[in-house]
Amino acid sequence: MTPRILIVEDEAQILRLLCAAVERGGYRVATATTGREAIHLARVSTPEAALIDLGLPDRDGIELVKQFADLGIAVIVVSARDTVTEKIAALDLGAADYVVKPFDTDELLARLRAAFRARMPQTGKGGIVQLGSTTLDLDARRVLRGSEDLHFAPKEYGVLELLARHAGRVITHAQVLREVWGPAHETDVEYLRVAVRAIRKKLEPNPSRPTLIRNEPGIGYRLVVPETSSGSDTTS
Amino acid sequence: MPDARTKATERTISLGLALVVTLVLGWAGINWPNFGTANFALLLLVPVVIAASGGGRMAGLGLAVLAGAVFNFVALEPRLTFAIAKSGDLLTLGVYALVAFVTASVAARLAEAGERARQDAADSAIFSAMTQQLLAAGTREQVLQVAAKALEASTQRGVSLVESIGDLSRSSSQDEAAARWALAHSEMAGRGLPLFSDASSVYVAAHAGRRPLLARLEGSAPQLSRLAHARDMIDEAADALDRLELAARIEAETRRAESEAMRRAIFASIGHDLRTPMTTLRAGLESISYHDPKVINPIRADALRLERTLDNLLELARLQANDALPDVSSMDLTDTIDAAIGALPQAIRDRIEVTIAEDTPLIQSDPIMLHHIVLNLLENAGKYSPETTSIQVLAHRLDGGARLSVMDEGPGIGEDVADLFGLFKRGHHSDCAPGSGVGLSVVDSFARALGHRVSIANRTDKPGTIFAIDFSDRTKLG
Repeated sequence: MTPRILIVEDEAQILRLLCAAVERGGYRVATATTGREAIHLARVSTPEAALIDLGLPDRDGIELVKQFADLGIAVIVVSARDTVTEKIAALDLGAADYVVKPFDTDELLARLRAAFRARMPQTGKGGIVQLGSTTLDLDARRVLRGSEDLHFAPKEYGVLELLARHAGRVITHAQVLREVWGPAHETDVEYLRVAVRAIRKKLEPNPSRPTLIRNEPGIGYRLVVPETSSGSDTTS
Repeated sequence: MPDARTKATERTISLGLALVVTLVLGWAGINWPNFGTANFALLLLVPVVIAASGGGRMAGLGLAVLAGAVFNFVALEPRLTFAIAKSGDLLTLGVYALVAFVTASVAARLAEAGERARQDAADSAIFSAMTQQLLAAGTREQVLQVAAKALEASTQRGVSLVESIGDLSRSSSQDEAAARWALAHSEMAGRGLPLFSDASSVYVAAHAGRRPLLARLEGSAPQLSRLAHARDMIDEAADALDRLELAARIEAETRRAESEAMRRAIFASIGHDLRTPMTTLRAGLESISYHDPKVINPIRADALRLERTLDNLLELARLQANDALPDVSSMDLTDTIDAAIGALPQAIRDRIEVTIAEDTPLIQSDPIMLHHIVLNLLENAGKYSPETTSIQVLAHRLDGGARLSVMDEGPGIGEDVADLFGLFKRGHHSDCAPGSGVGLSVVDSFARALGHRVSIANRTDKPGTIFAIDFSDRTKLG
């Protein structure tokens, strides 16, 4: 079945453009212009994903993020607010991604596809993540390139596993540090930088131009699973 | 509280009264011999009590001796002599003297206790009046004035209350030493105290308070209990000064927070107001597919450029309004370069070649500000070099820190290097390339705010410009 996307946006023109873009991407669309309406639709029509504007007339869109994420809806915030604090707050509340206005519609669709793929490991494929020529086996805790077993230090593997389990999603620095190093090291970004550098050295074909582990400045990291390896987006 | 003079007068009056009563009783005893020994003895205790309660213990004891003598002279056989005939009377006189002494002591002690209670009541009245006035005081001067006046009333001395020794009127070197010592140790010193007893006054420093506070009590030190009380008052004044300072600080902080919130709100709404139409414009252009790409593509490129210029102006305004203070953390230049390239139009993206040396150290910077710096340098390189040439991005270790360079194959720079970074200033080749020069102003302003050094030079291997950012190896930025 074609996934249904709920678009929550109060500016009529942008709503129309978002609808057009999302339909062009091959999805079905439901729209809401207020927070109330959005919550109602989320319960009734259970969309797979939602694009949420933060500046809604009746409430701050940030209030919807957690509710929707708890309902299993992949949330992408689409907002004119561009500060790091806003982005981190939304991601920490469970948003899958954050797109700043004005956005590139192709970019938006790519993020939407990534957000769908992020839901896949839980729904089917089990613990195998294919990263180009490298296979990440989360159940066996092994990383294989062909038949070669790549060795990772425990923290490096921890970071890779966390990013892989949420592939396509931005995981904030604080989230990674909390999960892998423990809450006491939540602000020690340097640990994470060193670990990511080591992972890239082993995984990336060209560590100077990373393609797998991508950085969102000031926010966090995202593992980009190459699109060809995970099949079509519209057949889930 | 009665002052010293009225107290002395009171003492003289009660002593005089006691003497007169004693003499009258003696005269009466001589004239009416049948009055009765016991009655006479009891009546003679009256002046003893009067003297003791009004004039203190010594006066009471003196009167007791006098009363004993009068009793012996008037009532004991042989009368009108100081001799004692019967040995029993000796005992009577002894018992009488004892009773008189005890009476004098008790009366004096009671009087003292009463006096103390009166003084305490007076002290606490002064204290509470002072506290109330201190609460009402709005300036440091008022606080000092109120407290000094209260101290004068309480200690019966001339008082100066100051926040630094320089504010004290001139005094002898010993006085100054006492004052300094008292301040340094938050203690008291001076005349009548173990330390600096040769000074002319007593110096008491506040115990409480975050700023020094010193009182000078003219003359010798009062009783220790009085001194302790004076000290409590000084501490209260010190607390009042702290309260004033704190209130002023809270007010300043509130005002600052309010203006900051307003500034943030303004930037947020400017950002929103600029971005919303840009979103519509951009998405609208994207959806126009039926048009000739030769017409639509330049329009799209212009829309993007407009967007970037607005972004840059907003960032500059934020920095200038102190809204974007650097938030420095550990960073990998690989991330910075990757993110900046990702934000560029595809046409420029394809021309970029990245080389990052393996030993490039992590650097300390603000991720967002550095992102804007690198993004603008790359855009600048893309704008001012032919579309067929490549743009080199290098990162490597340098002097313990790191250097990031962006090299283009454009015309290079002329004499106008110094002006290149000025807001809206552009190089001599500006006619042939679009852009307003805001980008390099962002580079310059952000690099300054972060403490990174940006330099420009012409390439030596071929025509072209090198922009280099040097990151020092300091682990923390100022």
